[in-house]
Amino acid sequence: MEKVKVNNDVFVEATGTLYKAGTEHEVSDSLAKRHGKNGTGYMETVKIAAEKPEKK
Amino acid sequence: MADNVVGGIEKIEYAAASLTGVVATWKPMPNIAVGSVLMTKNVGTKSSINKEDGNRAYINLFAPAEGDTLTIGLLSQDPELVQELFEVDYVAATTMLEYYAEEKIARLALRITSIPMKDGRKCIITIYNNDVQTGYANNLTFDQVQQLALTASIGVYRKAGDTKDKVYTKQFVLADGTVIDSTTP
Repeated sequence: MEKVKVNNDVFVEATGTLYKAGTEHEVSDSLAKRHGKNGTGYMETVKIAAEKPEKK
Repeated sequence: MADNVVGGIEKIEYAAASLTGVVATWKPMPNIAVGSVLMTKNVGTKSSINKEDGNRAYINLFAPAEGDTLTIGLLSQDPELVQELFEVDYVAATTMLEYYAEEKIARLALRITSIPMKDGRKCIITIYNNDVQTGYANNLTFDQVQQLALTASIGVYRKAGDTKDKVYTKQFVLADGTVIDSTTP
């Protein structure tokens, strides 16, 4: 699973899901890849900042 | 699964023709005459070599067809569009169009959006490279209006990185224009 931000409305027929532009979703890797930077460009991966280790 | 059908016209837009399949801005081509839009796919002419000792064709030969065509009838004569279609001088101050003797071949890209006919889907047909000739249709009578009769000869375009020519795209979208991902899981 991958967290993505939707840039352009996409309706996924197989699941009947409408991904609206501006929203964020957890989607399958294949969907993220299909609509990612090297695909349609309709979705972009949201990078989750790595947690900083606590200083003791 | 939803069906993909192509039906009546919701709108037609135009822009300058593109040989690379890229158009940035489209302008509306309003007031389309009912039933006037016809897209014709020409197919190659077949000839056969028959066998003397049998009734079936031995070899079928196909001569390439002429390019595809699209016709559109417009009810209104918007000066901006008329300037694209005809060789004219336009004086906005007097709303006068002065037509030159020579015929103009307008080089336009055309985008046709169909109405949703079935399963809430419409089709967007984009033809990037058209040579458009324009004539008139209909008599000047009280129960008709003079139509601009556009005949577009559909040409080819080639996208960057492609090795083959293409003629048009057809994309099925939801009624509000949302892109459909039809990937089978």
